Amino acid sequence: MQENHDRLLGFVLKHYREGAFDTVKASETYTRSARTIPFWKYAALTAVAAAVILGIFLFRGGPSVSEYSAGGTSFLASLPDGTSVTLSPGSSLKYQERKGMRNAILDGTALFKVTHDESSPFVVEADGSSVKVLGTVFQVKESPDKVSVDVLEGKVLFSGQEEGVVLTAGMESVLDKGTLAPKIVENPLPNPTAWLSGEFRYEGAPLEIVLKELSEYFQMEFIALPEAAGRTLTGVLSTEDPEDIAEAISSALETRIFIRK
Amino acid sequence: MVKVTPREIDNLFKLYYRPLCLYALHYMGDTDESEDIVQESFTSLWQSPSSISDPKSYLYRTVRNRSIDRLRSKGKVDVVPLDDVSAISDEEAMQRSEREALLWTAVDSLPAKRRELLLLSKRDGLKYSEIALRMGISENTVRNQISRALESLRKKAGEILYFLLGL
Repeated sequence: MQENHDRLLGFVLKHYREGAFDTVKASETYTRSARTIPFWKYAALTAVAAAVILGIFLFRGGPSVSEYSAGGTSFLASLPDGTSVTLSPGSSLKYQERKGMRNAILDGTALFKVTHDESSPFVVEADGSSVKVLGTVFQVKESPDKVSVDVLEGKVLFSGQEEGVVLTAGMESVLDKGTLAPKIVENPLPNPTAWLSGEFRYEGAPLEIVLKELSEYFQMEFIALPEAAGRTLTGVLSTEDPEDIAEAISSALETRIFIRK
Repeated sequence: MVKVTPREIDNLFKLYYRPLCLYALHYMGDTDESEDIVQESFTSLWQSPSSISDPKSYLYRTVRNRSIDRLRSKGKVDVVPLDDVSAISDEEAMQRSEREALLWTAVDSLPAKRRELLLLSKRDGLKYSEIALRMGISENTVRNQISRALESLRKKAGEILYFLLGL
């Protein structure tokens, strides 16, 4: 993992150029050129991917359990079904296959690349929660006080010990430590994948939500003057520089946004 | 099998523009050319008359094919990516591109001064002593700043677990 990180980072740094691969800029260019496409192209259909939601699976232990643990460094484990799991230092994983189910119990943090097998769903359990994979893209963040799941495409079933929630694209759910059921986040932060796209995109987002997202992303506190309460923001901000962002919002809303580091 | 809607394309663009650029970069070694290829590939997705069952794979495939075509047209016969991409699966290549995109974003987010020092060292291959001389700061500061930059990049990379499953 470490070696891999260094290799990827080496590649990125070797070719890095400021302002290149700017999703926001490119998307403007692209939208302009795409507009020249005849209207009938818009007459496309959407379909909702059918996903079968199975019941909540509770791991009860049993025979043929594989165990993996990472010591001081990351550890790459290859599970019997071909799934690869990278465990962060100090994390451990138990894995078991039973008829029609693949179950992994995670203690700590790990990156999974699951071998797709429709006849045998893959379930990851972490700290009293479980995430069942139904062929989708989602992200899991574990912090000391909670586990949160954001769904980007498709559906997942995210379960606490007692209850689960089905999440579809755009939804976020949080399981607070010590609770039994995940809660759906009413107003999820609008840009869970800002780290990937390099942008925050807002369409009439309440300022409080925007500041909360920025504070979490940059790990510094974004504060508005009381006069700005209740305002909303529309626009696209690059993730590049928190100071620039504060300035851009300040001038857009004609107020002052402060950053407390 | 469904046609891709404008809204879906918008989402795909948002999610995969940068990863696709990094994927192309492994072939082209040039950021401008990589961006051209990715833009063309989105247009091709948009204009495709037939249904596309897996737009994301389509995009990666198109980027790869176009990169290879472009290299061939420049007279490169034996096209291999800059590093050993051939040894990894498509799925792995996609994941790698996404992780690189994350790192690219993280480099973007570094304080400008710190980023400059990091790039002078890692991209331009300058020694710490050379950077110190050039920037008029102590070698120790250079070392500290670069190690802090690397640390924050490592932290960012480990912050999010990205699951990519059975697409």
